[in-house]
Amino acid sequence: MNTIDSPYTDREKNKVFQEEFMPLIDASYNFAFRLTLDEDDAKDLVQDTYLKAFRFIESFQKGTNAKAWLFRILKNSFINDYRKKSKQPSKVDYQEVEQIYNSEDAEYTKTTDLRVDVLQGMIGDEVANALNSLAVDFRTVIILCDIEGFTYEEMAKILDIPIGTVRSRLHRARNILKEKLSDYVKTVGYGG
Amino acid sequence: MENLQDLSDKQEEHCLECETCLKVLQIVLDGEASQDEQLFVQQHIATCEHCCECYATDKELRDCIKSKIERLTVPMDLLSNIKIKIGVSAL
Repeated sequence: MNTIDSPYTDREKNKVFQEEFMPLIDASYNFAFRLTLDEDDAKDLVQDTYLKAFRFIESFQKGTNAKAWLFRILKNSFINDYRKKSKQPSKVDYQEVEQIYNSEDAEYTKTTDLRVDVLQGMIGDEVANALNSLAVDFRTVIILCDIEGFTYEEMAKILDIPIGTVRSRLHRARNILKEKLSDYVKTVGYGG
Repeated sequence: MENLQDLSDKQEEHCLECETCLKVLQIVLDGEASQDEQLFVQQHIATCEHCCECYATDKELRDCIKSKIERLTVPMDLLSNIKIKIGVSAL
């Protein structure tokens, strides 16, 4: 029987945690807030994530992507512990989400009348409100890709889904976001 | 008749190119496309106004999300709470 030695001494464990994970607290908190849409829940989620990361740090391999590893824990904690008790009501029925996924091929050629100059004139709150109104699965892929800069491969690992699903979910998410921004523009009469 | 057929063929070819372009656009803007895919999109948008606009809008949307959505400041007590819970004085 093989025995697996711990890759870290206690001292190394603390060092890795301090050097690799503590600098990610800002990104983690912002990701947690965009998932929970609540500052208190975001704090609790980040705290739980860091405690789990510390407890399981031996499964983190030095030299690999610490941010992706930590975000995967955060995402799983959110699904397991926070999603059910989220203060944010579910915007989209899950069945509806699945139906949307199944009809994604038709989405590729769909375009909105949103213009570059209109987007340029928008303020942060308007963009954030539209993003926050997306179903959490759609919101998550946009945050990971556009805000946090993860690659498709990293996103696939964080979300436990195939790369093809990352790509199609991202495409659908952006289309819905464009539709929401376009509807908003029509409502407020932006840009003439 | 021949001219009409030629025109129809060209339109169909154009539509297929647009369809392909719109499919590949996202992976190009996300920096995930191959060189061939990048070249295809660059060449296509140089000649297709509609796809060029789609490219510009999608690029602006990404820039908007990245630059306009406010980053929140981490609450002061979060870091200290984590340190206390973990019990690592060295952190």
